[in-house]
Amino acid sequence: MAYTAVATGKTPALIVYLLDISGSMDEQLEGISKIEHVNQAIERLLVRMVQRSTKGEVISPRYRLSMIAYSDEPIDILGGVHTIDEIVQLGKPTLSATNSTDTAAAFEMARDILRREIAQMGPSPVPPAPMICHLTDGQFTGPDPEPIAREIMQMETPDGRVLIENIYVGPNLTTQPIYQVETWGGVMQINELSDQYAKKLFNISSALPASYAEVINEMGYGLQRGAKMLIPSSNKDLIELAFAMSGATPTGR
Amino acid sequence: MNQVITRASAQESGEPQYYQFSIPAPGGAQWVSVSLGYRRSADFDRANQPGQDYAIVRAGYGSVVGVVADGVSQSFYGHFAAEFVAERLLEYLWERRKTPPSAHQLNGILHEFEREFKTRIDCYVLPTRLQPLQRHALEQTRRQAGSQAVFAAFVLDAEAKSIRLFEVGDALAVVHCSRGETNGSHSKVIQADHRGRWSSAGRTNLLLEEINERDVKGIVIKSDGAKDWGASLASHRFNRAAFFEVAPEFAGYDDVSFVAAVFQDERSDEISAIVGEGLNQSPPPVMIIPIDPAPTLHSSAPSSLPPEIYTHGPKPAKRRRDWKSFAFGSGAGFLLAGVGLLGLLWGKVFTFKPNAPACKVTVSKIQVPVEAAGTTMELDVSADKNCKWSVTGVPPWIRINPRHEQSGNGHLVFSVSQNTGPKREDSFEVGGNTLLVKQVADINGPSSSPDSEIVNKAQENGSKNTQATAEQKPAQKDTERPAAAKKTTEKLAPTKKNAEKPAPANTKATKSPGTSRRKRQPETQK
Repeated sequence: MAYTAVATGKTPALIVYLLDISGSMDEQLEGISKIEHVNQAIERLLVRMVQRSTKGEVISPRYRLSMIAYSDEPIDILGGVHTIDEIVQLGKPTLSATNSTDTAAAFEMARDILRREIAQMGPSPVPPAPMICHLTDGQFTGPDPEPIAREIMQMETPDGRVLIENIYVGPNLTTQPIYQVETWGGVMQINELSDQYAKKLFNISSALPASYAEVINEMGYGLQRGAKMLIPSSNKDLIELAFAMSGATPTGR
Repeated sequence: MNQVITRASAQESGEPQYYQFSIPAPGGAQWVSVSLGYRRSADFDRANQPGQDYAIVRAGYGSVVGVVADGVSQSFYGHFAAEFVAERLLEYLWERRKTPPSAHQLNGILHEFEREFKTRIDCYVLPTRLQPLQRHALEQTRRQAGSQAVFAAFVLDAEAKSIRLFEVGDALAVVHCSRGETNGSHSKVIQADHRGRWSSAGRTNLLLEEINERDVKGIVIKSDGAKDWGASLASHRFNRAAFFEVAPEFAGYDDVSFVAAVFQDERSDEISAIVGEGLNQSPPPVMIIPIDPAPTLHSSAPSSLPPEIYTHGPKPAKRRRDWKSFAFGSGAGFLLAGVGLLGLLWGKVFTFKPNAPACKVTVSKIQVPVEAAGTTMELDVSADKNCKWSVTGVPPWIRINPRHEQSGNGHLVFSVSQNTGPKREDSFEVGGNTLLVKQVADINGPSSSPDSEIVNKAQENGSKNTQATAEQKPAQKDTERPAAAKKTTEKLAPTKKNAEKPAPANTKATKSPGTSRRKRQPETQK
């Protein structure tokens, strides 16, 4: 399969967010804290998902979301996997930064969610392959998350393997500055990255499927198919692009 | 026999709808069987929200004009766009049915419709019951995408057996022709560029296509939810029973609607059928916006939203007039929406309206068709126990009893005088709700009725008022007399369990040599 399944009310897309809320997320980026950038981006993401799920006033459960915030330990901030219409009732979450960065524990929690969810997927109709959207601003302080992330990337579904997107918030992550977010084609080669941890994230980032690229292009961005699902987010526009990518599962009209 | 019959779908109904009637084809022994089917998506059933499709057809004097519009999901209340553009198109094309417009002409008209529609969409106030995230999403959608629809529309000349078809977006048409093939018939599916949109935002490309066909045996226009419906006109695959069989399945995925006009040797029985014992006539939640005192719109808006998006609407000094024109000019959906807006604008946000009730008042109907002879009607008014309401803005041809202020639940009795002129419509207010009264014309005497679906030549000549029956023969070519025609629109018809005649047709999909397809109208992104 080539990630062609469409997110519908009957075949919702599952997206698991792993959100780093370590103390460093309180650092400033373009005048406000990184965590505030993330809060704003999450709100815009949820609004976009609601728009993409709305018919009249009816919100179709096209997306099922889990949000795991992690520092010392992962916290399931939504209390399970919820559909987008349920999240509208819950309201948007607001994150605040605390303590250290146990990235591996967060990936473990995500892996366990995916195991349960994939086991429940029937052969038909085929839902879109699940996605993990991992946001961080730097090095982990616990065990190396890469083995678990690679394990996740091997998890098969009828629509394709689980996708992992990484959003790395911080300055000077690429060898060449990204001036025009709208026309930027994405990270294609590891040598486009200047930061060592960004290079590590490169290895645990999936390639952008063509069907997702098409949706992102319709949003006005220039990301190319095959680009790594890794967004070095040195400003708020790139953070927004990154969250837009996480909601780019194809949907019907 | 001259008659003009109009049928339209009811977006608010959760029941499958099917209408069928025939008109004589001038100059021959044939009839044109006209049918319309509708079933809203099952997604809307649970919350009883209106479907996003809208289908409407008008036939008479040897012409059939049909429009199927599909409100675009992910746009701002797409059902508004579908209803508005379909009704506007129907009126416009009907007036020009003898010389249908070119794509270029219609392109300009559609943009005029967009501008008119935008003013109405801009005035629509979102229900306060929506959660902040959804309000935010809808407001953004209103600004960026607007309310959008795609459509297919046709004008059939029954004498020439030719059609002019217009399409925007992925609405579909199946045209069945009687030449070009050795077996005597063929059909083909026609679809415009799927990216085309008609939108209140005015920023989309219409990508309007015009297609002309001759030697037509039948045409079916439909929304994309109708799948392969109409690919064959064989009687067992294209009738009420077949539609009622597939409609629930189709509705599991999307709204489904179609309009068809098919030449037949015999007249079809009239069918006005809805599964079950009738429509659910309770207004959909989207249309009922309570006017209770509540936090102001500003205070109920998400803090991250700019306040200006909650203050849509015309200037206060002109608000009343502007709103009335809004309500009159649109269809039922907009009228209903207008009721809510009126309540919000006058009852909550602004304080200048004199009789604005400070509580929830609803009326059992918001639109009333009245026969030309006049009538006396009674409506239920629901209101909280100590909630006072009154009736204002009553036109001179309607009398209200009682006129004094009431409180709580009650009844409103009103009399509509006989109409001896052209059709008329006006509205008045009941506790902040706008009630629209439409009365048909009565040029030929007081016998016509909005529920009477056929007014034949005999009626026009003052003969006994009889409904056309299946025994009537097709009329010879009629001299058209539009001024004398009676139009009847039936939106919420009672169930009729008439037998149905099969529609003969044997077609298969092939290419047609008789098609002329005009170049798409290029547009510049606005």
